[in-house]
Amino acid sequence: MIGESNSRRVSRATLRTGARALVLVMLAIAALIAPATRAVAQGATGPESQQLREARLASSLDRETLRDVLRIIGDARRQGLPDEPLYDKALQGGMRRAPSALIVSGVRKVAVRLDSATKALAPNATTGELMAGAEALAVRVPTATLRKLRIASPKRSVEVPLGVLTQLVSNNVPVEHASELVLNMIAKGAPSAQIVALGANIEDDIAAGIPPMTSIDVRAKGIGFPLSGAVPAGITPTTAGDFAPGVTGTNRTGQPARPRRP
Amino acid sequence: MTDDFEFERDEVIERAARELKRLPPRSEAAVSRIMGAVEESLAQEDDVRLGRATPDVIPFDAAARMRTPSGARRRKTDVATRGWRMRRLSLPIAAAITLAASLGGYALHGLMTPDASTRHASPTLAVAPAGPARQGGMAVTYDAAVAESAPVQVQLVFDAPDARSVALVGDFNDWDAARAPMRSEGGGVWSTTVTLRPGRYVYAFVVNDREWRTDPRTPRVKDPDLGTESSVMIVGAR
Repeated sequence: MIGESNSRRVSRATLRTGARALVLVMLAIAALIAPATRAVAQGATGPESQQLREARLASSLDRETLRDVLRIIGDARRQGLPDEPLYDKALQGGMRRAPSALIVSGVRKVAVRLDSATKALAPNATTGELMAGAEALAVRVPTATLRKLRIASPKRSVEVPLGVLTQLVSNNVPVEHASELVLNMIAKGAPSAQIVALGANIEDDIAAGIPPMTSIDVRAKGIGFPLSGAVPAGITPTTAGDFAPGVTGTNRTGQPARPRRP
Repeated sequence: MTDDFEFERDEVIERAARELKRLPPRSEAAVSRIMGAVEESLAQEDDVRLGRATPDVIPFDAAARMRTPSGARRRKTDVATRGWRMRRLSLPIAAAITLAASLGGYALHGLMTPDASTRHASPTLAVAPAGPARQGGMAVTYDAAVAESAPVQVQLVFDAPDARSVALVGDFNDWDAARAPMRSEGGGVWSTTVTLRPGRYVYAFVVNDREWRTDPRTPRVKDPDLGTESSVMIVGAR
């Protein structure tokens, strides 16, 4: 009887041991999976993603290039600059087999532009704003324009307006006209979707063969913000209340960017 | 008449109660057997607790013996302590499940809500868009956007009839083809949906793991530093 009883105890003890082992395994798996899942989910941010990025860089760059790139990134990090766009530039160059010298100089230029954007968009610029600012500076938008945008929109993000401005300038719209239009829209409290829609409209016009300067003048008039030096008689600037989609003259106001055909 | 009836009834009830109160004859042997088994069980419990018990090999006929009267009694004894054992077993499991759920929630939270401090967001492998897809190319769907900075789902469609595989790469996923493979929709059309915060993004398609192509439906830009050509999209919010 005692043997039988003990055997049942043994059986339960074995079960308890098994259960504890199972618990430990579950905990270990959860601890391993959770950070990785989060890193992937967030587009790889944080220390673990830094390791992933450096591992990818190591696989796509030669040793000297990698060393130079990591040195620039380290310096930028010590200055308090975001390292994400620097990794991004190096990874893009590495994945696209760009020459090593171009990759290193490209990463260095991004770091310089980020530093300028940080100063121009101070005091509370987000990483996204700094990246957008650096991209705007890359297409020769003046630092002063970034500063004006920050002053015009101290609390709202200027990431989208900067993106639209960058895109307009990339499409050969004169930088002073593009800046004036975007600044006016921000000052009047236009929602970012409105600014995106305007940029898409102008891009479509340019793609259809309309000269950039003509397009921006027409579109600015259409939403009630005629550009300085291009104000036609009889049109008076209106307020942000006139931004109702489809009301103020643009044919796709408030809509997302239209797909293009080649 | 009523009094007589109640008197008769009371007498009958009293007789019945007297009969019922009499205890049945009991076997002294049975009583001693039960008490002995209980004491033995308690003693074994103490031995196990104090580490004095020596475990035996599990007998093959244990299940058969469990069906004996003594086995049945032991089962009853075990039932009394099972609650305590169950708590001992369930506590670590409950703690583990709680912790695993917390970690899972933490991970899922990352999936659901991209970090506000970063511009990048998660490539979503789910192909089904939240809103209407336009006639090919890029379509920004606004269902997920509740604020200007809220991430929105963007569906990208690419025509590549000759492709065995297509991946979306861009400055939103570290140009990593492994993070946003596109799904073949048939007829040479490939599609994927990514969740992006409002902003301007540069991207390209990688066909068959080696060939980089731009999106013919969106504007192209030349990288000012590398000279490489990519497509560009601006994601806005409602």
